[in-house]
Amino acid sequence: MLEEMRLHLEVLRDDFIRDGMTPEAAGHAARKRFGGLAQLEERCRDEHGFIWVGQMGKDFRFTLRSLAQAKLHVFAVILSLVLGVGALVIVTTFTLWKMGQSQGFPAADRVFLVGSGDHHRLSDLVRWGVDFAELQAHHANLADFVATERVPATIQANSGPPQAMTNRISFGCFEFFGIHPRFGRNLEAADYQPGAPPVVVISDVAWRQHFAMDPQVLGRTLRINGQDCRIVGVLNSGYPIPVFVSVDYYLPLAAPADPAHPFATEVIIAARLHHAVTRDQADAELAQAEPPGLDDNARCFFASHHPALLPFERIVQSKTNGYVLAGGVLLYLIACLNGINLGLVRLLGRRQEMALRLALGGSRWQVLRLLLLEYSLLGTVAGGLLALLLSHGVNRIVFALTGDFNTLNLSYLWSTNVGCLVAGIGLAVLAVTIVSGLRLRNLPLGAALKEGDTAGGESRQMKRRRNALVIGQAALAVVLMTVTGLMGLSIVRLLHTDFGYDTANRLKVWLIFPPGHPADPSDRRPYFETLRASLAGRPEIAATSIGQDAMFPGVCRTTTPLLQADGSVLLAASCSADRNLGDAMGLRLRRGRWLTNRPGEQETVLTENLATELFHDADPLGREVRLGAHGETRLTVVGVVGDVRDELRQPPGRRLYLPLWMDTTRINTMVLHLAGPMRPGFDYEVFNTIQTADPQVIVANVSPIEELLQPAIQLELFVARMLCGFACIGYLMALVALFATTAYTVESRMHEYGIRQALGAAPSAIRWRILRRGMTLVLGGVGFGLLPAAGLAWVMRDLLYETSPLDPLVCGLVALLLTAAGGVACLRPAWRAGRSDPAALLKTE
Amino acid sequence: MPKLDLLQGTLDMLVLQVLAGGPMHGWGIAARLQLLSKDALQVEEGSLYPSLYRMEHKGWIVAEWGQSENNRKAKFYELTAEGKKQLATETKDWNRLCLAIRDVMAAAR
Repeated sequence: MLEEMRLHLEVLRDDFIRDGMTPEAAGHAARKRFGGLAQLEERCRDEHGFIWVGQMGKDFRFTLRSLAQAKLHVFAVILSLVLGVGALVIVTTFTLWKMGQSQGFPAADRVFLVGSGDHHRLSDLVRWGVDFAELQAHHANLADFVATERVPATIQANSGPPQAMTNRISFGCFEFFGIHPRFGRNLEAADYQPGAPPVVVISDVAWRQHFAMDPQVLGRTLRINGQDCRIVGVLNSGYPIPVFVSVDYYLPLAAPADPAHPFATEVIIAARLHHAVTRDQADAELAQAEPPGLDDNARCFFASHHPALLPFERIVQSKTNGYVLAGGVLLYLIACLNGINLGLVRLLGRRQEMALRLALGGSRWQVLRLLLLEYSLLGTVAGGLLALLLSHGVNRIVFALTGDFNTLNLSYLWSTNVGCLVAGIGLAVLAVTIVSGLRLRNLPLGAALKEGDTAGGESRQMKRRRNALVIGQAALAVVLMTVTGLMGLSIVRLLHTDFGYDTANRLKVWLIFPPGHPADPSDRRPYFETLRASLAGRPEIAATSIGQDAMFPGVCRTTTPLLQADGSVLLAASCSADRNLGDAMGLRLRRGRWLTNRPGEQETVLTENLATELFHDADPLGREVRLGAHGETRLTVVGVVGDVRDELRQPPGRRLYLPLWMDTTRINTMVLHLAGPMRPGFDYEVFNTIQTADPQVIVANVSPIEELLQPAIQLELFVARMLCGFACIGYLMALVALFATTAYTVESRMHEYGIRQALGAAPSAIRWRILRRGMTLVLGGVGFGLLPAAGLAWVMRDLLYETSPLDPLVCGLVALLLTAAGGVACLRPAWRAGRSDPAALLKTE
Repeated sequence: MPKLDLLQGTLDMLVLQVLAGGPMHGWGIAARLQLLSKDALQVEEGSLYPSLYRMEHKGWIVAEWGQSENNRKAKFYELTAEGKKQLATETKDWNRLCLAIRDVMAAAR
């Protein structure tokens, strides 16, 4: 462009020379006629459209300079975006992962779990200990059955922990869920044959974490529960694995269950319907058919627990996803409102600059473009930061929030969820820019340009809108905090549920005897007596007792039929226990005495509710109880204990305690009553003592009884943890919004405060006025937020335990916390307003 | 003879008309306009070049570097099909405007 003009200038000068001018005069005349080259070039650029490039560059530089002067604003906006969009990305990643568990495998809409009733918790599924191959033979409507059994195991020859969960899976389980190996092979039919060499398939996570991604891992041998198993395959992590299937080690579930002991193996069964079969048809067939080969007791149990098909989504994709998603969206909304509020405050601070731009001929679009560029820049920085955080820490963040949930595949999933991040940032930036743009449209130029004007730029209407934004944020924070509080209270109540025995300072030692162990399936009393003797010398242990794990919550219990006087049968949970169980467990003896456990002594102890049902108002002591569908075993009642709760959230069930000698082959648990709180490492010492004495036995767990309740409240804990994180962030954002609004208002009204003080107002009165205003906004938010919070809590009522959606304690605490936040946020601005110097302020006028 | 001021918005039409005769460089266009108007119109370079760049941006003309008649390097502008269409439209509008002005002037006499 410049070259062309220079050439033109030369031609013009030559013409002038030809007309008789001196070269110097000709050059001067040519330049005079042509005008300034730089200005002409600028005009040509304007016409040619290059203006955009240059203008964008200028805008970019200006925006950077402008942002550099508002570091606090930049920090607050980026932090809001990172937290809000981060929450959104994490919850959508998690939801996608959960959805993938039920949708990623073949014909997912026809896959069901075989359970009973209408429970939707994994722990409530019936662990049907029957031969699943028999099931398939008897149920024509179901195309495939697969069964999985989670078994704790001792593992040697890898770098991982010695204790790990293994899953014994039926043949075809991987194919059923569409899971393929990364390399090697799946379990094949030959691996299930009796006498086949033991093999194991490991997960991708185990391969990465415990085998250092060794490509030569195939063929290596792992010692699992004392048996050498050859690694034949490594699973591909790209496939969604249902949570109840997902472990690190997979072994064949070879041995068919023993019909005489249907509860000995606890399997979870999944089934897929045939194409032409409806769920109702399959349900009807399941309800009619009875597992073959059951004894009378098991038949009684199955008669009252009809199996039914449970939709797969209800287990793996329960309502909790929706609650967590709602929490994430709420936090995102709070972040957007925060961004809008901060944007408006900044715009008000810059209104004179904006007004000058408009007065000097700048179009509103040009000014809006500056705002868009500014927030796009902030959004890009926030997005980049978030991407960096997520790509390096998503597993840790989610694991910390979700606790025991398997985090497999999340790092892969998040990379597919970049769209959510971009959309989240984009929408937030757009919302802030649009609201700021609308404000710009109504900017009163005259007032804004007035010399010394500081408060005139904000109309009463605008002030109301900003206040509404703060109230909205506070209201959303109230919703999050209230729901979190209700969940927390609910969990506290669940954890303090009275089980009818003392859960404090009690350890459960649960042992599994692998096939071939000397104690399996013979009388296990000698083994446990030896163990008791080896632990007896420890001063920490006050009492010990041996029995069955069925005495604890969350364990599939043995149900015993009791024949009543009128010939009807009553079902009650039963467990064998030695003479120390009453003391060791802290059972509350109401009448009579505990079992003496002398061999041959035909006696029993009942819970109060069972005694009342059997004998009504009569004294149960000395009365006879007839066990079995035909009343073949007769026991004398020697004691009555307080009601014992079998399951959390369920009322206490009927229960009777039987002498240990009646069933010595199924003893598997020891209860340790400690003299005080468990010292750190004591459980590990017990574990070592047992392992050293007998390396063959599997120590399934050595856990405080209180910890056994954790799985039963896993969903509540998960939702509460997520919501708690969101609520804390929402609370902080509301605090920041209130601070920004109050600080701006105080700043813009310093002149007024100066006049007030000059006229005799006390600084304390001014401070109190500001504090009151902040509190009013917060209380407005509390008022508006409580009702939606109660609504959301009502929707989540299935996760609340003995807690009202409008619990006064929680609502009061939330109101108090937010009001305190209002006070804290207003403190500094109020202090500043009270310290205004009237003389100095008025001098600036 | 005193120079006339160009009516606003007519420069583009005049440049298009000059270019209808064939490709021409900026200096040539200015000289040709002066010649055709018998020195009554003198287009200032400060207006000519922005006009050329504007029309190039709109796609009415295209530019190409070449050699001038004096063996100087020069940028030659040429009318495009769209430019020809634009010239036809502007010529038609101009004729209507002239007629309208003439009628007004005649009626007012």
